[in-house]
Amino acid sequence: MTISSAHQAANQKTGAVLVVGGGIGGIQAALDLAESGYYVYLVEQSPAIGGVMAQLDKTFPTNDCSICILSPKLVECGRNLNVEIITYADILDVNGKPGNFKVRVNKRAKYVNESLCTGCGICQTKCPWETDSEFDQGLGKRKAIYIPYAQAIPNVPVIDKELCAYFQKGKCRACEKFCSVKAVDFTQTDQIIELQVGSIILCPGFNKFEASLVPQYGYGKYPNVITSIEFERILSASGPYQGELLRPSDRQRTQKIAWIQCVGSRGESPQNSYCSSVCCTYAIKEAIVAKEHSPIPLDTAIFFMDMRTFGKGFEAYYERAKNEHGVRFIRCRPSVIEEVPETKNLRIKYETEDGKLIKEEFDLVVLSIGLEPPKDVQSLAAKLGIELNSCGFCQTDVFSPVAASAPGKFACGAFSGPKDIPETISQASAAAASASAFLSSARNSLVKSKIYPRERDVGGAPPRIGIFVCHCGVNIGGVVNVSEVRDYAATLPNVVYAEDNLYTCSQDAQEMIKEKIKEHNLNRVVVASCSPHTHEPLFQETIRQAGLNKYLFEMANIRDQCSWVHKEYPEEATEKAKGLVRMAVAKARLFQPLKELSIGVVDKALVIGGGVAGMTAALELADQGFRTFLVERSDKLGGNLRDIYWTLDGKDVQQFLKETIDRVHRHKLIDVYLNAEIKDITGYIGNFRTTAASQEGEKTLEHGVIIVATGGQEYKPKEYLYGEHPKVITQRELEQKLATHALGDKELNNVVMIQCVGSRNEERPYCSRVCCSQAIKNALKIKGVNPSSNIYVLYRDVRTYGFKEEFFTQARSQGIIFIQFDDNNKPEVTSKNGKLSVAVLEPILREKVVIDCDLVALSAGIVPNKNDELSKLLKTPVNEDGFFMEAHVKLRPVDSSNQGIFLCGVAHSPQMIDESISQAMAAAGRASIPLSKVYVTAEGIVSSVDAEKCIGCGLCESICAFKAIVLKQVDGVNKAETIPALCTGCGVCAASCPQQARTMGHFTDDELIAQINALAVT
Amino acid sequence: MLNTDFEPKILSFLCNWCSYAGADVAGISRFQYAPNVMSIRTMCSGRVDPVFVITAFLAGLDGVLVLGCHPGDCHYLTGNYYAEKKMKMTKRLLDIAGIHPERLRLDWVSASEGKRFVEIVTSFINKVKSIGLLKADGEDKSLRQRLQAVKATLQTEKVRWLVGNEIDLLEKGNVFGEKLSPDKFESLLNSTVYDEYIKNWIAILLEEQAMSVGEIAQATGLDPKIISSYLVDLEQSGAVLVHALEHRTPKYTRK
Repeated sequence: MTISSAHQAANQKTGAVLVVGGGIGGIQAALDLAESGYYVYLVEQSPAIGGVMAQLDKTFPTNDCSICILSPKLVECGRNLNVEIITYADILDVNGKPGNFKVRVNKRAKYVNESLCTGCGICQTKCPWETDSEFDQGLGKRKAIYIPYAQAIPNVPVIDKELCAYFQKGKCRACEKFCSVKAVDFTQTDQIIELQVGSIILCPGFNKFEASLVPQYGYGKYPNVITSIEFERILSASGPYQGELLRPSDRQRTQKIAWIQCVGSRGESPQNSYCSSVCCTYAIKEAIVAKEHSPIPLDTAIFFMDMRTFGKGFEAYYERAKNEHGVRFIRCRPSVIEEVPETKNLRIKYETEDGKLIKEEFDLVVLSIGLEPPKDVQSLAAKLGIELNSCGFCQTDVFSPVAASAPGKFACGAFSGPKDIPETISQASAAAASASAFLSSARNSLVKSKIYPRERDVGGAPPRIGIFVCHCGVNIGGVVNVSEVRDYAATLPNVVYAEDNLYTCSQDAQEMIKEKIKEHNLNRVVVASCSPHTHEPLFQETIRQAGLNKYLFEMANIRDQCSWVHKEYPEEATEKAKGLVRMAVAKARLFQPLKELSIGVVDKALVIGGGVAGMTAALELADQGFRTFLVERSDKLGGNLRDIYWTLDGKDVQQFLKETIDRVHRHKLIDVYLNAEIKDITGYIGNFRTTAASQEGEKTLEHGVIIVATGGQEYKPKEYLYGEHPKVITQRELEQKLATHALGDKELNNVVMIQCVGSRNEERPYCSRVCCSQAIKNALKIKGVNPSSNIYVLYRDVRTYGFKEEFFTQARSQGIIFIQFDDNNKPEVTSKNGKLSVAVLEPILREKVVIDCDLVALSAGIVPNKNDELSKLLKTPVNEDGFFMEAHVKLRPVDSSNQGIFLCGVAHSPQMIDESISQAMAAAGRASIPLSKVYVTAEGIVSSVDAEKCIGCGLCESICAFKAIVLKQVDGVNKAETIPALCTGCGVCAASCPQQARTMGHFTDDELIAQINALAVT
Repeated sequence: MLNTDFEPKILSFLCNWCSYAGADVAGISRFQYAPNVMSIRTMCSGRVDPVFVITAFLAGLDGVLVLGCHPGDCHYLTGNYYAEKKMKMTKRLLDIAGIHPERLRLDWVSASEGKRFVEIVTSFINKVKSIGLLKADGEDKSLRQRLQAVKATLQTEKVRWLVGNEIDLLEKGNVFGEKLSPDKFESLLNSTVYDEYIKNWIAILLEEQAMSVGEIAQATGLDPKIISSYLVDLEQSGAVLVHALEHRTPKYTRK
């Protein structure tokens, strides 16, 4: 049956989804959907997917190499059978109705036959015509036929018709001449294709603010004034200056760089009024990375208004930048930049915090440009029939943060407002979950399944090892002599093939590895590159596709644990890299294929915590058709939402809460357990058993996944006379009093609000994220009831990121006074005869002012609930601040490191209601992936026992923490036996067996001893 | 740091979940350290069989670092506790054998502690430098024999069983429900380890050549009476036998 005939029958929905935009958001949504049983069309305007993330050098706050973590996702997308990537394409129109959309897409001519091209790149080396590279932001060049960047997927060039001499003048055709596979095709034309999909996810990303619209900064006029994204390319090892920190005017090393924040943001037209959310933290990142990159001492200064490091781990990053890296932070928005004509240096005039006027010269100025809606957003919105907000971004609602204004259409990432990568990923997973719930009746109707070639039998055959040594651009090659390592590797026993690659992780390299396996009959593969934590699955998949068992693969980490940490010692680093390769080869030589076990999945979920995150996750899973157990410790659902009455933009929270609780109680697939505590959790992904105890006794629940949504609470202040004076209350208490009209006008004549109470201090170094908005929300509410009231907000940085900035502006225009203080000069609250007053150092007057007031509202931070016990039961760690840790800060924000367990809401980090909701939807979406499968596959790394040697002493049985070993009677004697499904692969049994009868797959005694001996060789 | 007299060769075992990730974080953060250390990844620090440690020394390495998750953070719940028991006993054995026990160090590094990883590695390198080269693959035959004796001791059933059961014996008790006090366990383990080591040492000496009680006493520096009593044990278990009589003095050899 064809797609159309199958799904128009019986009013059925179509089990395919269109994802518009191939940035990291689109990629995540596409992969999630493909894994949950839907066919995906990923449509991207530019020639390759990857988006802005591909252009970034590093990512905050871990300084992970951006392309390194993105590349495996690109490759995964490129080879996923259920993701059809359509690049260089535009949406023409959308017809049909939700569940059955017809989308026409114009696929522009690339003039290269995608199915013939091997991506060898010879065409671009032969093409004589050059122009500025869009990918390198005009700092580097590209040819008329070009692949936008090294790791691009698809790895196919396009011809720029405007530049191509053949198209313009009728002659040249050099590319065609040199293409050995005859892939260049000048006769190609644009193609209109029609797609049938059930749902549409929009993630077209953002546009960078045009810096020349702020003429006083001289962008476009002064060569050494650049944008932040241009600076990312300068930092990048694969960028226009090969990662050398040079400035554009004279290509000289820069010694002194200034960043100017809020360029295009938080301003008046033509700048945007909103805050772009990400610029503060990316500027910190660029400053830190630049300092690390620079071979000479580098002076860095960031000019800012408010430092908005509100995300998880960002505040610590800011502190590190200040205290460890010596980045200077100057609270001032310079009005003008002047160029010194002789040196092309730039002069910035600013006022210091102690009031001095200073003129300082920098040799490079980076403008931290903001994020805007995509250029063609109006026409895109019109084609899709969706509404945009007043700033031109996709209109969404605080309670349904990923739903566009038309049914069946969802939005994620910067398209619905400026946001960083993890939030984009969360939203992408949430949008995928929404589409998945919307189409659940059509799940698995259009997907193709993966067929691997039959595994080659390598048992008994002598090892034939192939080794691939990666340069990782200059990440490895800049320190380690890669060709020397390759030549050395070739001399090692059983190595029959060795080569080096610029990026061994690129998609063309995967194809090449497969070819080499065939060509040289390889039966073991070693890659010397980065960390197995990020790249082992990718290479294992590659060798699997070449017919090898995935456990016949080993990695040597010559980057994270060699070139990056021994920069000053290239010779020693090269020797060490050789040693690591020698060890990897010694181990690989002994590898045996291992079997992976298929485990049946109990298609039910456990959600721990009945606040907004927990309820949302439960509803989302139940809507997808999975029975869900919702366990709440208290006697009612609702969590923190019970104490919140309005959102900043005035939405009724209590109404939403009531509806949500009703929906949860009414939903046939949700079982709610109140007053219930988790006592015990055993099992593993697909098969968990949880004991929950409540007044009605203990109950054992069986389920395949767990979502942790245990939330947090408002900090109980110990400072500022809280608890001592009745008129010193927290913001939450104030909100409650305002909602119940418990305060008279007289009590609100003079109100002081103090920010960062219990946050950003030694005890709790993190920013609680919500308090600035909460204070402004309450302040505006007070102004609403008592317009003549005087309200003072004492703050350290006002962190009204994104569209919340509007309310900050509104607050100021309504006469609310904001006074900045720093951590060393905290306000003092005193009470004299019951009258309250607050003293604070006014930074502009530089004088202490005393404000007599009727009420002091403390913006108390968020503290996580005590998670220690649960963390142990879940085997999922919490961070130093007590919040659960995600598997990867950037790319796996809602996954825990333990398979089958997911995190969301305040249990993960402080967040707003809409953010909690999208995270909860994301967690539900991620959790639905294993639930939607009949089986999940367990790792092949399990322990085993040599029955001959085993005397049945039972030591292994007693020490196994996972109850994965049992003693069984065999011919009247006890013998130990492993239950592979329960074995987690730790190997404690193998290291402890008194008879040395046990061993651990992939980490056998022989393999480890071979590594040790290989290390010792000199 | 690289300009000192010699560069020790050091092996570190890193558990997959915490320490290996911590070492990666050190890389991501570009924290610099000396290139003396090379790592072997295991899933858990509890996978590190003490035999591996001695194998490393015998192969010519100067120090061994075993890094795991912080106590309470083990991805496998208790694996790092077992690692701690094993390494403590191994250090004791090294001490008995006259090998500086600080050539072996067990420590904890979490997945976020890149800096701590570098600090531990750096301080360990300096420690091993201050102790000096081990060179067990070199000329010192006695050193090699003692290390072999340590290795053999670590392979004996009795020692492995005791160490593997330490947590159970202290917390749950034996088959009769009797709990051992930590002191009692200490002395039991100490004496067992010592006895096994001496027996193995004697056996290894006799493997090379037949020796009399006096010769063994001289080689080991132990009292001849003590040697005799161990020889009785060894003879009874059938590990050694009298090879010949020389001037009416029995000479023993390995069976």
